[in-house]
Amino acid sequence: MNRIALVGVILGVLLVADGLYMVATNYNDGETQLFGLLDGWIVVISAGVILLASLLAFVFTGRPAKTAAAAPQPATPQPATTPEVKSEQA
Amino acid sequence: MGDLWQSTVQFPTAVNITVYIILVVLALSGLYFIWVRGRAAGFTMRWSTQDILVLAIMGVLLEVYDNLIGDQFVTPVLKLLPASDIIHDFAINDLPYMFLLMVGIALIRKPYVATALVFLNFLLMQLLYPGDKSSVLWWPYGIYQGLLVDIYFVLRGQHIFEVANIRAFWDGLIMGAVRAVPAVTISAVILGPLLTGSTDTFGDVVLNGSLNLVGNGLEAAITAGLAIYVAHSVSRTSTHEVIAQEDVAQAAEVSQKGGAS
Repeated sequence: MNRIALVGVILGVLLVADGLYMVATNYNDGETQLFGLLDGWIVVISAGVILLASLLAFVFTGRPAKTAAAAPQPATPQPATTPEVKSEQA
Repeated sequence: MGDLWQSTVQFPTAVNITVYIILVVLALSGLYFIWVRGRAAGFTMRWSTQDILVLAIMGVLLEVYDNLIGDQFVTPVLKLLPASDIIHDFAINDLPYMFLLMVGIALIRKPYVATALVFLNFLLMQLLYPGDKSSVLWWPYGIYQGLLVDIYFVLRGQHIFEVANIRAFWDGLIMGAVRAVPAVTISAVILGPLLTGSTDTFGDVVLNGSLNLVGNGLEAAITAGLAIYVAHSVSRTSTHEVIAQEDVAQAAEVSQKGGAS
């Protein structure tokens, strides 16, 4: 999930840059947009949704780790053959 | 034959309404079939938080590409080429769209994935570009673009899109083809005349449908393998069966070593 969040952030930032460029150049393809906004603002709004989803992904990635940290630790160390927990499996 | 090719496709309103109701019933039946068949095939029907977040990200990306990036960068270039109408019917500008759709399917790999992705894209389009298609009555068009893909998905079983091999090519070909047809044909023949009063000639319907079928199919087929690689690199859970096999192999190896010592 961490990687998905990271990829989402990168794509979101790229889309914000694209949207702001479109706003700066007054790009409009002639279609009817929400509230009469420019195409660029639609891209920025879409990027906001992606960034929000990425933020949630970061939050949900961190949650299992906190839960594990809050759990009581065993008195004796675990044997070396304990299977490793896959943190990506949410 | 020439007259038929040039004739306008427009059924009486009563016929259009009847067919529309039949299409809605068929869509609901198809969604129920996906549920039943998906469970019978052993799919995990419950979507995880990760699946929903991936759906959100991919749905927005599909919408942004479909309505903006493609219109800005790809379509203007294609319009410069000779026979641009045929090229547009081939839906070559849909190549990145089909790649994104295949990535979404490969990442989530659960029943309803295609319907959810395409329908979310359609809903966003209705919200962000309010126009004559921003109506609930147009929803069958959004659903039919993913419905048959999902039906094929559950019929193929759990191992679909697991590994990037020749089988993934054929899976992509079929999924891409049924994503385009019958949705575009339904839109042109039934929904357009009934809901917005737009009509097409019989030749346009046949040409657009058949070329979309081939174009979208080929685009999905050639990008399926890459989509699976991308999905594997982004999320290992997209390959849960592969991971399970690796775990079984590792456990067998550990037990063998333990037995030997």
